[in-house]
Amino acid sequence: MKLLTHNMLTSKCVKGVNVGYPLTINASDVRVADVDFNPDFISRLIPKIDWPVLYNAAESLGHVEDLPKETPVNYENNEEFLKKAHRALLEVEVVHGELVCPESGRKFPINNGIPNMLLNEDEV
Amino acid sequence: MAYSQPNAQRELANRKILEELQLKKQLLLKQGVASTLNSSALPVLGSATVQNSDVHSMNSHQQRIALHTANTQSMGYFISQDSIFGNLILPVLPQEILQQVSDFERPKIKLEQYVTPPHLASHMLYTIQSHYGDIKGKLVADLGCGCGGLTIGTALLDASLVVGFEVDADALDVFQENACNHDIEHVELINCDVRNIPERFHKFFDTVLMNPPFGTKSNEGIDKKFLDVALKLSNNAVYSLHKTSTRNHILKYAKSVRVNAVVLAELRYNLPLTYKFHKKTSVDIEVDFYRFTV
Repeated sequence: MKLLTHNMLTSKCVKGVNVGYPLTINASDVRVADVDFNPDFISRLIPKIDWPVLYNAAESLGHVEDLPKETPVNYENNEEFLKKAHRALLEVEVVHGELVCPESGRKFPINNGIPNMLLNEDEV
Repeated sequence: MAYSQPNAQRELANRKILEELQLKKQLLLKQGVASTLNSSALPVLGSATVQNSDVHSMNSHQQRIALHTANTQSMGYFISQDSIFGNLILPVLPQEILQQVSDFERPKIKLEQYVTPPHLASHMLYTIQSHYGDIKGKLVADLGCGCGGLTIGTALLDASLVVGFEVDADALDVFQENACNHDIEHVELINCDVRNIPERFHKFFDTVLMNPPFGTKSNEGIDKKFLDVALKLSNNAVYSLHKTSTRNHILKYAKSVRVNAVVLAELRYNLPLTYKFHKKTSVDIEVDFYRFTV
């Protein structure tokens, strides 16, 4: 699971959960993949991202490195920044672990890089 | 099926095919094959039958000439076939690799699991990229991705990221085996019910692809539910297959939600014997290939 995915996932579907965001990551295995860098693509992604959530997720996995706490102005032309964002969004991956709903404590396992967001019938 | 081969042997075969495909793909993308094809032939509403066995046969003199011309005038690699899109020749793209993609080990009728035929999938993807530019560099979702034929093909056509959503964990196991054979890192998988995809994903994707369940077998209306989700997730285009018999219904529905819908092609979807209740070895069903723009 890439941190981009983590940035988008919520547990709002669970009965009784209001926001369900951001999910806490408990990771037992993290890897860094090698993904082609496309600056245009990354700058189009950034407005859709909750940046502080990305920052905290990267930090919790020990992969924050020199990722800035806030997005710089005119980041579209800041290739150095876009590369850092690329790495955090697409290259850092949780292979095994779990996501935890901040409200209900419901755990969603991550196996072989795939988060399992399935709910039981009585949870919907 | 590929599954009967020993793993090592299959991996080797896959790798070879991958290498070949990558080469062809680079050539194809570099020189923009679309211009060498009869571009006015698309979109076409026809009902030519698609049969995998036709792929390597040369059906006419005209076809042979077209193939020869294409091969001499460009650096691409072409095959001849009865094309559903009206072209006599088509570039070889993910079809070969899609045929190497393993399918459901034990298909589940409840989920209406049928594999998108590789021939058809490669045509769809080729059209989506060459005529609309909706894959390369884009953020793409595949709803109900199953074992990943469309997803992997999309990744190989240089989408920036493809996210596959699938409810069936067993299908995702096969998917991962397929994906790791193809060494693609820009694919992401989420095991969830398509109907429960979080709202944060609304308008997130540039392109949404799907070969949804057709909504038969006590699953009525599921195709429309998939379409609803797809239209919410996309900020541009949705490509989908729906039974031709539901065309009026789908077009009317699209109009009612103010979405532009175009039938790009009428396909004959050859469904091989998948389940025990099937009485024939295969059956053709008529399917429309749609492009919706939101």
